[in-house]
Amino acid sequence: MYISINNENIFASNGGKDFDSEKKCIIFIHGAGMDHTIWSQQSRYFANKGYSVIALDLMGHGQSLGRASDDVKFIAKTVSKVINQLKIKEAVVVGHSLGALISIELAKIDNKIVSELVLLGVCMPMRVSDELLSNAKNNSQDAFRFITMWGHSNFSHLGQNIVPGVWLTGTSMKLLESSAKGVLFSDLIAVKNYDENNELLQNILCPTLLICGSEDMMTPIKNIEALDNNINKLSKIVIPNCGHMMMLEEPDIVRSEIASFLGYHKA
Amino acid sequence: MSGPDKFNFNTLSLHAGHRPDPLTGARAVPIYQTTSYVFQGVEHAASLYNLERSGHIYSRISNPTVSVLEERLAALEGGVGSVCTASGQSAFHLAIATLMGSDSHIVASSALYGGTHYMLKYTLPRFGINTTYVHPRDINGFKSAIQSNTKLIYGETIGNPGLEVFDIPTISEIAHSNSLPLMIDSTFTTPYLSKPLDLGADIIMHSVTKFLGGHGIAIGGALIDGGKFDWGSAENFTTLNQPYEGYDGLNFYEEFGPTAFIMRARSEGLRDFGACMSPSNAFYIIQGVETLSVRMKQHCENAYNVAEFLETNENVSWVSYPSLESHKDYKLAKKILPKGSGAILTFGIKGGKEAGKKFIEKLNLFSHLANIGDAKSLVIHPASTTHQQMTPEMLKSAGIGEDLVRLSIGIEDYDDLIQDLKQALRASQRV
Ligand SMILES: Cc1ncc(COP(=O)(O)O)c(C=O)c1O
Repeated sequence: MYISINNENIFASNGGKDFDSEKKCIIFIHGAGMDHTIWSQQSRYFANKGYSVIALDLMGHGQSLGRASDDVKFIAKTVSKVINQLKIKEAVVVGHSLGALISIELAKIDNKIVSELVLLGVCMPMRVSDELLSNAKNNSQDAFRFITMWGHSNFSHLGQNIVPGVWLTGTSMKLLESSAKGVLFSDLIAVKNYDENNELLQNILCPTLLICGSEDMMTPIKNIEALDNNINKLSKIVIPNCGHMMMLEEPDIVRSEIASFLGYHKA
Repeated sequence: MSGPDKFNFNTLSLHAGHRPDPLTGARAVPIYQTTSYVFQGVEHAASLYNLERSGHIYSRISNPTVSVLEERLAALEGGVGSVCTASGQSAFHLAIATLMGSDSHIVASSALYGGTHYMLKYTLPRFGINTTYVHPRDINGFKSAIQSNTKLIYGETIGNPGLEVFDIPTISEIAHSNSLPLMIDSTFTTPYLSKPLDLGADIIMHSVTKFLGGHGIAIGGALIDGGKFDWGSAENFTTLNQPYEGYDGLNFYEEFGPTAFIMRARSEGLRDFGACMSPSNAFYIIQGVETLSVRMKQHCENAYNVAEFLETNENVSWVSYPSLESHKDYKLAKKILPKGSGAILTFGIKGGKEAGKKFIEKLNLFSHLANIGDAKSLVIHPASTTHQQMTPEMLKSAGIGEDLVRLSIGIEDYDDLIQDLKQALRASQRV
């Protein structure tokens, strides 16, 4: 579906079911340089389990028009407008990487609506290497390679994907390559400049699930302390042998952890 | 770093798609000789069928041994995914059936494998899919053959059996500027010699029966999806960008993005047409892929030496091999096939058809059979076998004369091959 925000069409996949604002909603927010298709192993599932699914393409990403913003808080406000416009009353927000930062902000803005928060592949602060930034600035293939290379665990680099016949690192690379010029750079700036006062994390009052990959080199598990210490109702799971792209690398575990967090114990 | 992968080509050819079995410790890829897979429960079954989650259901659609080969080929080609099929022919058919229905049109190189030619020329028109042929060197011809219902441009990296080199970079530009995908049959070259996706192609097909297996013991095919073509904005591709009732209105492009094509090929094409690869054949092909580099090097070295030998032999009127300076596409081959132009070469034997027959009968090491890409050297006379249904005009346009002999050079010791060729050429000229 398309939602018009600030005169730009924002795209959201509904996981193959019609959107219904009366139902509890689950909003998926992708990370830097990506789009909604990274959630295909989760979004259809929840759509068929009675949730209204909004798997967003952030502005300038995937099928959404507009310019990608380099400001996490501004992006969160835009997503909040989507929530408003669709008259969503209750929503689980699931965010990955940059999307997790946006989700954190959203949980603060829309604290009456966001009932649960799921954060994947995030730490505080999130560092972006200068080399990656300069490659992204020049729209160099090396930026995409770098992210694909370091975004997947050694195990994922061997393959044996849960999706039969799909070569995961190749898919991540092609998804990044399909992003419009400048989008990855803008996303990475948003990540780099996100300067959260850790104490404000205490304003997040909803139950929060943090999903980490034991081999995540982009947002290493050793750097989650600020989240761990400040988010009130935080539960945390670490997926073994998994890198930064957990919803693709370990889609079954991610799906079932979210489902049991939300009360479905047999995902 | 040359690609997104941590590992390089040889490592991928040994490891991609497989991790040692954690339960048994088995190092080799096991043959999962099973038709079906136990569901964890009713809900699990339902969600698998509805593509809410992935996993194996039934070996017509996917199988763990076959999937290792699929991921491995996708990795070696630099694609996003692959589907392996019962044969090269079924891979070709699967691509067509995934991309188009009746009232569709294909622009194809005229230098094609005979089986592909039959399908395009005689079989697909019955289903409303017609083909315009263009000589692979007639670049402008590809442009002007495109119609409003064209869905695909198609060619072989090296034409079969004329050995024309297909200008993938240039023709992919023509395809893309017309919002069309380019599919390449890369059977002759394998990803070791050429990576058509890097050169601009969108889909690759292989007869894995040939060099990828290398042993001549199993028939199989593969489609590899490059993941780059924008199915979303090209109106023509309704199978990929419109809701599909077969999965409750699923829009493959919207749902899967870069893997839309290969996901549809599997979930519709294998489900419905059912031309799947067997697990044991996948196992055999995997053994071949593990040694692809070493074999291809030896194939190319031998082929080049044989080509040079033939060029100087008095009983040979011409030799065609793209790595020879005398070949029309020598420069193009240097550019897109820098590691060598494979192991297939053709030559004209003095004395025409009769000498050709005698030559084949006198060979000892070379086997006379309808295949290429075996580790053992092979020979055939196309005009009397693979291409015998063609009219003289069609033979001519495909570059096949009655004197043409095709060799598929194996990895035997080069001296032994030369000795065999020498004596058979000599014998062919005796009355
Ligand atoms: C170039 C080429 N493509 C396709 C095929 C068909 O493959 P298969 O025999 O595996 O069906 C062949 C077989 O000879 C071939 O040489």
